[in-house]
Amino acid sequence: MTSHYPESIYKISNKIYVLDNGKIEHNFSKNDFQSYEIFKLNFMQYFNKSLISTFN
Amino acid sequence: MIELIGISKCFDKKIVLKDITFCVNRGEFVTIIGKIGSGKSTILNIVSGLIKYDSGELKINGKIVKISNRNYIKDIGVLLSCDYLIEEFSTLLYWKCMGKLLGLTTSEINHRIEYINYICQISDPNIPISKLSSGNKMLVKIGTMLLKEAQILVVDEPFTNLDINEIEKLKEFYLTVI
Repeated sequence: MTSHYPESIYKISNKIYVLDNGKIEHNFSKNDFQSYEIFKLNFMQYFNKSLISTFN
Repeated sequence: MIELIGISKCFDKKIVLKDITFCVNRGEFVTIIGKIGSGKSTILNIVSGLIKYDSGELKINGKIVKISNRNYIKDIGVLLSCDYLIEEFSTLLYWKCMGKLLGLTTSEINHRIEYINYICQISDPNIPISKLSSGNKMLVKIGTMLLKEAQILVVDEPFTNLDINEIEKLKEFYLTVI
């Protein structure tokens, strides 16, 4: 499930907002990246570093 | 277009949202993620008109909306994460009842159910919902959300309790809808 979840998120989303303690801590927008692959890479790096425990 | 501008919300003096600002443009699919209790569902409930915010502004299509001015909710379809299906009903009976509660005519309901059946493809819409898989129950909720022709869809925890195959099916569905 953990490995499947991030793909479910980035594949269907134009924008991703990361909430922590009631505040937006981070956001990703496909328009801010040169390509879908770079968007995906950036999100996955952030997910693996900061979010993976959230989904365990 | 949905705009949240400096939205804050407290529950019993506990701050659950602090100065939330973001917008969702027409045709966009926006995902909010975070730990349990981070405020995700609170944002979705505010946008859906289910709870009021304490400060800031919520605009839908450029107009400021408040809980006292609920006209805008006719444009919003909502899928909640809690259990609210009447599981003794068949999918078709449930959709017909929900359509009546939404004020649709019988003809409108039948027309919408025809469309929803095509989109959702419930395995058997005539058996009680209780006998459906988790994935199919989620599709019943999605169908209910689509009963009215909403411009905005608000979906809370769309992949909870689903297996990988069901997630794949729903992912394709959301890609189709947007």
